[in-house]
Amino acid sequence: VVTIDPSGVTKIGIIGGNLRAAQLQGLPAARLIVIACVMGGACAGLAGMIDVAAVHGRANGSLAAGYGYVGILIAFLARHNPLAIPPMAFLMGGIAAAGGLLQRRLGLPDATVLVLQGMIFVSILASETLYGRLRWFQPREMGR
Amino acid sequence: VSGDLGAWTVLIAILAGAVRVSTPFLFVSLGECLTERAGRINLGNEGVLVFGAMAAYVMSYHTGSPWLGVLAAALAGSVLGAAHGLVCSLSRVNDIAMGIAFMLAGTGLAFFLGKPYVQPTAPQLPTFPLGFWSDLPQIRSALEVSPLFFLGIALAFLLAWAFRTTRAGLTLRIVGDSADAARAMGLPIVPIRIAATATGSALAGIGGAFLSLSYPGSWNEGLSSGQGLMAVALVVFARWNPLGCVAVALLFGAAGALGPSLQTAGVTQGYYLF
Repeated sequence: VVTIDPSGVTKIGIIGGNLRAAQLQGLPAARLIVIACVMGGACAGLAGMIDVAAVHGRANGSLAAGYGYVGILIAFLARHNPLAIPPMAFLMGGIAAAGGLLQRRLGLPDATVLVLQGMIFVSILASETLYGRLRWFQPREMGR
Repeated sequence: VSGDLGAWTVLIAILAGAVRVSTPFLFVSLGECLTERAGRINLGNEGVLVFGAMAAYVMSYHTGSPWLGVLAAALAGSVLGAAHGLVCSLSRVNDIAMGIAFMLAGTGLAFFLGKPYVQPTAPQLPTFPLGFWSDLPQIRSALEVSPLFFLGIALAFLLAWAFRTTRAGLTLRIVGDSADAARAMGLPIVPIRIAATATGSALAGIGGAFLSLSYPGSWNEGLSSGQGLMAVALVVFARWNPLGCVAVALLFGAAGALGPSLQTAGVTQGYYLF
């Protein structure tokens, strides 16, 4: 289970893209931002519910295993595109689930997964800078 | 050994906790203050804290000198900070997201490399016995103050003075407050920000050295419970003022010590609120 941060509906997207323009359009920016935060929190809460109900089956102190932080980064990796979030979440969940196998088969410490995830995040977020510079990174539409 | 101290136990424990628990807060928030004054936010300081703790412990274990461990932690921190600063200087790279990525990578690397060192014990930093005037063992142990605590307070005054009066401090503030003005003045914005991030992370690394070499004084995977992230919030609470960082770190250190000390005094409910 990985927390999924919603990137929001169109109006919220407008506010995130350009706050001044949204205010000129007459959108209630402050209220929409609060609504977006409420919805985001609700999604994260649902993730916690799934973690307790379906994965662990009980609630205890060792429950929070950094899903929240990984979830935030998954939203960044998906470039805030909701459709790209499930594959990304699946990938990260798979890497996390592979941790047990790595420990048993290769005798690596359990932090290997954390190192791998951190390296993936650092390199992908850093390659954001290549976007639009290399030929196969050309944006198909402007206005990102 | 001594009589019943009653409510004084709680107060003494809070005093001791304020001094001990606050030191990592103090160093990380001072480092983060420096970074944020230059216009960047480095959430990776949580990772630097854990990595610095590991580096200090390993260095202290192998050389037998805890001060070399502190130096190693500062060096490791500045390397991680410089990496964060460099990567965030590329265009379109988000410093918050990169900070969280560095947080994961830093803690992961620390656990990965530090795994063999969980068992052995490393030489610890010495402490100043400031409780020599008292006969009570509680007060004596409460006033065993680490020199790093005084170093942190001195550093806070130094930073406050440097921000206010020196040329370097003024330059840093220009870069942080108005990048346009800095560019107009021909200041090298990117190198200044990288240097500020590296220095800030070096301080966070020293905070980590305090964790593993003074209090709690061991290396394990539950060493830092989000103190690095909380210190980032403390900087905002302190209004980006180094002297405010001291006060806020002491406040949060005392609050952190309140829970365990209330437990020892017999309060059994609600202590986890702190």
